[in-house]
Amino acid sequence: MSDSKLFYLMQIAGGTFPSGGFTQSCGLETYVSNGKVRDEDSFRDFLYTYLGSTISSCEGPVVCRAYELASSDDMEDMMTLEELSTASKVTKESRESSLRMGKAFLRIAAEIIDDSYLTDLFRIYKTDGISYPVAYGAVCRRLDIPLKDSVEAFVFGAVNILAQSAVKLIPLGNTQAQKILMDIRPQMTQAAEKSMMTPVEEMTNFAPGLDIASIQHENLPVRLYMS
Amino acid sequence: MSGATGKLSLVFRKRDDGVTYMAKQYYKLPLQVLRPHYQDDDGTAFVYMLNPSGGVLQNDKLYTDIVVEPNARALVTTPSSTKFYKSDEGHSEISNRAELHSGSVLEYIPEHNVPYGGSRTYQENEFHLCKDSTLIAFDMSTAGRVSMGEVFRYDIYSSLTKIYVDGKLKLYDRACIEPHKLDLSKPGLMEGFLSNGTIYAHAPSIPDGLIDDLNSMGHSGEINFAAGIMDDNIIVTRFLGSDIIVLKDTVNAVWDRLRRALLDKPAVKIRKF
Repeated sequence: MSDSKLFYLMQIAGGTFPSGGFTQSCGLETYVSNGKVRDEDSFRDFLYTYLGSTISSCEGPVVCRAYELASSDDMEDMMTLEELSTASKVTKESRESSLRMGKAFLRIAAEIIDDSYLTDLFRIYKTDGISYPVAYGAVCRRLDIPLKDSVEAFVFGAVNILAQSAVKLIPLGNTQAQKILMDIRPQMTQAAEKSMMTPVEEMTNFAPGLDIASIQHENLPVRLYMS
Repeated sequence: MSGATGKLSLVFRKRDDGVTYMAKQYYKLPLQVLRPHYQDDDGTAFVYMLNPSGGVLQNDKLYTDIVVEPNARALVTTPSSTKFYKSDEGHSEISNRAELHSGSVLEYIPEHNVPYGGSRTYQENEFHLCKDSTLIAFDMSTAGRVSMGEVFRYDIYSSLTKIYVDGKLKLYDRACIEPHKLDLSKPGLMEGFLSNGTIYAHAPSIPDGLIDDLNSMGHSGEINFAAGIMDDNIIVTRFLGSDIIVLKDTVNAVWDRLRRALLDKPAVKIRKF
């Protein structure tokens, strides 16, 4: 990856791009609230489940497919992918969070990147929103960032969001959180590889415990996060 | 549908007197269907789908097509659980497709699936709805023959549910579980429970308070469940149960509330076993 591509990637996936990622806990807040995640070990277990069920089996393959489709000007297949990506979010919070993040991400990307494809894509979804993995994959492709780097950054971004949420919710120390990020590099690498190897036709979203937690999050008495 | 080992094709039609009848039926063994019977006062046709072979064998390909014509009402169920036997080679496939026309109602409530040790199963349920049709669909499975200690010993159990409304995919829900590849007891997955299930519901409108009502239902630590609404008219209720008996008790209680709210009638005890 050339230096300029690294700058692009750090800008859009480095955690400070204002897409709202850090307002999400992806069900972690419910698990902390009910005591099932209470320390570093139980958080690692939660993280592995999230990586395996949501990132590498569902969102990652969508990122890769969106990346592939964004090399063509034909929007029809991209719209079919977006329909599938949103349909695979089976709880209200996970669906709305993804659509909000994707819309914010694409709105800013379309404004700051001189690319008619992104402008057209945003025009189509500016009302209903677009799922984050589709928007992310498309933007990475239009910036010509290599796929592997794009996917690895996507995986790291998702894990980093959860690690930072864990610091506030469990709580974990900052050093503990950074140690976890360092330790789970093999799992993140596996997640990125699986994302690239799994066709969207075979994607899965099995995580019944996470789904229940996501639904129950809507009714938690105190909430710091949107999901 | 070439290569099908079993096929079932049903068309439900509403008569002028309001009663739904089976206007067409075709079956190829090992799938079979019984004549409708009636337990509600609104003409809903209750139908049992049967598999007299006793279960699903390796390389079985079983296809079911259901059409519910405008304003017709049907409830389709099975008399007992569906057993998936060990596959030494190949796998078994079940593909169910239902088409719900305008104003129609389908309750697709099969008993649970039991994937035996060594089984390799792929199930697909596809529902094509109109925005004013009503669907209540169950999908339940156990860890295996739990009472004899066979817990998560199957090779693969895959279950895909797709719901389309007016041609647009609104829900894609796929489990593809390979127990030897992941620890199902971890947070987010089965969490120590041995059965899981989902009720999918769609209705032209969802009454205010229904979701809160469902989520406030009392339950023991032997079950965890939650009901959520999406896109204003799809309800997904997820269940995890310590065993299938406990799970089905709660599923039936939720079904009763859904029936009362969406169809203005209570659940009924369907004679089985």
